[in-house]
Amino acid sequence: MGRGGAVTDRQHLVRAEGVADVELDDEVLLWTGTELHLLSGGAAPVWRATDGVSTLEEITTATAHSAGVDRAVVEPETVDVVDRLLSAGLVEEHAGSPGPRWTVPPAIGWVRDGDVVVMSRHGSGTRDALSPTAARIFELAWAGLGLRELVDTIAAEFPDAPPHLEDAVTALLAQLEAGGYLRQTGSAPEHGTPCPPR
Amino acid sequence: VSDESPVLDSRTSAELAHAEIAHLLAVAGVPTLAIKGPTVALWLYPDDTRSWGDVDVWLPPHRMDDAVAALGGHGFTEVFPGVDHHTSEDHAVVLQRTVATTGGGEVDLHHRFPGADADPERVFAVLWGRRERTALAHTPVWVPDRSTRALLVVLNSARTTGVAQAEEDLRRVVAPDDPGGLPGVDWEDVVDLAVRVGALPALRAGLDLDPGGARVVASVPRLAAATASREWSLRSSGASRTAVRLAELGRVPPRERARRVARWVVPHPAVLRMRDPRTAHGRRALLTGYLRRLGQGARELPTALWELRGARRR
Repeated sequence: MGRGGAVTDRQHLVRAEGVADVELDDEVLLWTGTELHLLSGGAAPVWRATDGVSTLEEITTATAHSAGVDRAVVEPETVDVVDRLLSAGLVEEHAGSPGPRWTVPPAIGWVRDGDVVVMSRHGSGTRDALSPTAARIFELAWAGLGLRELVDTIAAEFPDAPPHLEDAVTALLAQLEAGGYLRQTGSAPEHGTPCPPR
Repeated sequence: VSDESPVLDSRTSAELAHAEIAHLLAVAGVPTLAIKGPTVALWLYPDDTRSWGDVDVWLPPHRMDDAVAALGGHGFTEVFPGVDHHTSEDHAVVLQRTVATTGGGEVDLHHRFPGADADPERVFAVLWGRRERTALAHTPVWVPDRSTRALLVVLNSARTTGVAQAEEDLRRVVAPDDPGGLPGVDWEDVVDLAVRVGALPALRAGLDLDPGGARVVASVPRLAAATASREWSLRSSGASRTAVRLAELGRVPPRERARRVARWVVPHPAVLRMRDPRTAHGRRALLTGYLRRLGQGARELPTALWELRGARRR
């Protein structure tokens, strides 16, 4: 099962539909409906890092971070595991728009409450609310949309959006990043480190 | 982002609080199961009519110190100073972070669950092996599997008779499956689990409280053959605390029995201050409190013995 150059760094790796996973301490059991796969050793962290928005590059960085080692140490195994997951049909490659994408750090909890989103910083318990439009932008960023797709979606959903929508969205995303509510995928994840109180 | 703390409905606030505790304990490396509130409300109440507020989590007894320290580092303190798993016989330690902007709800750290009488470390290990993953407020949370949740609903009902919410939880968990497949309990598996964790007598006592539970008992031969212990018959019939404690002593080894009696008669000062705030004002007040407690115990003893004899006859 060779890589054959099929995996590109700009492709998002997405878990195939219908694959159920069960955590078994250090291992992950996958069930496709017809087959069982047990991911152990270095394969389990790779599976956990396939969050639907991360690329191979970002998954390698996340895997290295969770193991506390340099990415060069885990890169060969990560590439091999991704190859195997692709060959087995357990993950798929999806093309994404160029540019940054975002994820919500693990130290942030959030809930949709009516038309707003309420976020909490685990550790201090401090809570903040996003207005309806900001809430929608946050959700779309969490879902893995790139900036272009995100702006197009907001423009379609909010007909009264301002003319310089992209600038406004960019400013809001920057504000959410600065506040620790979002981080760009591929940037150093803060696994297990609650955000400091504001 | 608003500059002011948002006013949240109780459900949103509770979900965020549960997520925070799960995250903090996971970061501390403490295995944690979320129990009660959300695990019952999100399962048995598709009509969204059950509230859930305080956080209840279950962890291995030997990790209690780690959990208290981990949460203490984020502002959580004992609701009753000094009352913890070292000083109290209670099954949980109650913490609270008294900052209004963070929800301010209580966190109950359970190190055992009344009714599951096997070694608490073993009980947790069994339940941990059956755990399921879910998410609250987009944060990973471990919860008990369906059979464990069913068992806990019944045990909770058996020890809190007369509480409307516990009664409704019980009514729903023992109801026949609806067209949507709820509650979908495999009672044979629940009995297997109850045997492993020493909960069969309490399970039987709880099921006997509801007509639906009686139907479950009739349908599972091992349940029909089981009997509710005296302790659990007393609990589920709403007997006095003293009678229940006397019955409880009957199932513990002699050495443990002596320790329990001592702790019961002369509780830790922190526990006495919690139960009787008048004892907080100096040594003399504390001593008076102990004497008052002994007097009260002596007065309650005849009634408790009468209740105990009644349960023995049943």
